Amino acid sequence: MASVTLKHVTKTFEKQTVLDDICLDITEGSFTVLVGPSGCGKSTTLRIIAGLEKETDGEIWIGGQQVNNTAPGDRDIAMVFQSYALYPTMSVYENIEFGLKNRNVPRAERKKLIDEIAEVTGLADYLKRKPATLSGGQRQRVALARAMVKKPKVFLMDEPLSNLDAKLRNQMRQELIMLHKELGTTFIYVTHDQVEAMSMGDQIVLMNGGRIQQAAQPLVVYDQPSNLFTAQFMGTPPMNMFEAMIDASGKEVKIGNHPITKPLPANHLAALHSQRGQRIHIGIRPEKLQMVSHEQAPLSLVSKSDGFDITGIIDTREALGSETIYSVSTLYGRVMVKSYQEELLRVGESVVVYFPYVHCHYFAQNGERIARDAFFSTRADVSGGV
Amino acid sequence: MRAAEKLRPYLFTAPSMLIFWLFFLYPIGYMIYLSFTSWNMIHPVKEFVGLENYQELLADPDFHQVMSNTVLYTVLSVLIALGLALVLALWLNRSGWVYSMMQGAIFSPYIISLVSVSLLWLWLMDPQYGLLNWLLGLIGLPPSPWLSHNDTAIYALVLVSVWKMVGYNTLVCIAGLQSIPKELHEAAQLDKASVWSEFWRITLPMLSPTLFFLLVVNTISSFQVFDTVKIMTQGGPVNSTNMLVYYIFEYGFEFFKIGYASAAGVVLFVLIGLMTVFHFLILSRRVHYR
Repeated sequence: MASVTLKHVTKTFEKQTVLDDICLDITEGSFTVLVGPSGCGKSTTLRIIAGLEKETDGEIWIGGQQVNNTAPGDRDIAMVFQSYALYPTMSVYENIEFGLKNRNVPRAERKKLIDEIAEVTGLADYLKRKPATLSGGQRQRVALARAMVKKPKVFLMDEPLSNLDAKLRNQMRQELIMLHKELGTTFIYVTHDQVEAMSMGDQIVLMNGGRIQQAAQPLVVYDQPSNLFTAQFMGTPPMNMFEAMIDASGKEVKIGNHPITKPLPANHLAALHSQRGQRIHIGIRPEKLQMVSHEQAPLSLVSKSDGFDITGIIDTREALGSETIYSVSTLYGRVMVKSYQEELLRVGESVVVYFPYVHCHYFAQNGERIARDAFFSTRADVSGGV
Repeated sequence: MRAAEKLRPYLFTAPSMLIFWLFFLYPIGYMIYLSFTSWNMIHPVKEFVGLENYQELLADPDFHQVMSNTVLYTVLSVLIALGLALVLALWLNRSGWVYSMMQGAIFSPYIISLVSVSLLWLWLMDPQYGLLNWLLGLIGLPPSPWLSHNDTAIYALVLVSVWKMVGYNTLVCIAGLQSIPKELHEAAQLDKASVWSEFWRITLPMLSPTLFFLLVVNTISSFQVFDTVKIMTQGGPVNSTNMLVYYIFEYGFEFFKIGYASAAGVVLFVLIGLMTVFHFLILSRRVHYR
């Protein structure tokens, strides 16, 4: 177990900045997920921690030791590659053994360690096989076993599940969470898949354009996105975002050219006070919206409580079984609504979409989150996968 | 319609089959037939003599010498050209203009015709005016007789052959090295592999199909060496560089013993066939194909 710290790490490659002043603290024993779109620098960050890539500037610390000039093999880390990178000419046994051999572990002890790991990973029957004869899931296990057998202080994983089919990926996700619990080792995990990030990490580090956008627990990232990018990267479908204008008095808010039906509550207006006379973004997650058909609107909860609403017409409907995703065209523009109602609404139906104030997020013109005092979530201390 | 369907594959393959039969199978068959005859290329009758040519061939001490020369030449030039190419490939497999230039320089002999190469080296190895002896003199070594002595002539030919082949081998090895996934080397680094163990356990096994291919191709081409012998030594001195194909040439087109030459040709054919089968049966077990 060891903590990992990056201090002002920069990486430029042929005059292109790949990583821009990355500062990151990864606590001992945590499961940290680096997530972001492709090209955001997440893999480069991981490879710099591994020592496979040389940083241009900055410090890398593993377990209280600066490792900038330590060879990858001496950093006491193990890495699982996206392609698994199993040695094709060696048997499963030799694959797992290679790292131990190079560390001069005696033969008898090697055998004991490998047998143990093989038992844990369910590879006992495959030790004599070559990687080419194994299925994707089995290769994945060999890659894990090869990493685990070295008992590293830090596990690095570079999109390890992306070559597996959906079902196996779900299963391996569970197994990795369990594995992390059992080993208690620091895990650093790179993925572009927000579901993996949300479900596995205790800490999510969301990256874009070589910068860290937000580093926090999964539900904090979800519930209090620190900027427009974070808000729209996490969640399927992404957060609805509307360009709005606050008038000079700071009282009236328009989305597009349409004043919202009911004024914002006082505490929201207070938070937005500094933005008066300016453009802002109002965001709300599709599952926080409520929607009823136009005829039922007066009867429903929509009319009574604190929020504003807009009428619209359903354009498309994706019934996914447990939930239904509607795309509604309104005067505010396109609104995505995720509904868990058993009763489905029809495409073409006229509806009222209701925006509870409590779930509205505000972002300044530059994309930064506008914090407001009364926060609506108490889920912040729940971390994914635990 | 049906008949046309059936005919189509034969029509498609006909051009290459025609060439194959006309220029490969027919000459081989004809050579085998001639090896059982006595003929001087002019006489209208090819006299059938059975195995007489083969008996004569196997009893000829010159032929024994030729065989051992050919084997020595092949083993030496293939091993050196392959080993050297591997070393060069490991060294030159980097980016940068210096390395690209070196790769080009090493490859250039391969595109020169063997006749020019032979003439060039004939001049370089001239005992009195040659550049090589002048260089030896510069570092204080006695001049070497190179091609003019029966102890050194065959090694001189090996040198030329290595010089000619090594560039091609290097280039193919570099291509082989570059096809090894980068992650394997990274995984090995993380597994704390030394440079040595990374080479033996990862690079070399992954390169084995490339090396195997080169081994087969080089062996066959070395066994068939002719141009350098014809131009540089004519098999001499004292038969010390006479090799199988040159021997066949001499008997066929200088002594006009076509039957006898054909018998030697059959021996060459069978030997190369056996060697290739041996390569595939024995060595290919140790080759890792992806």
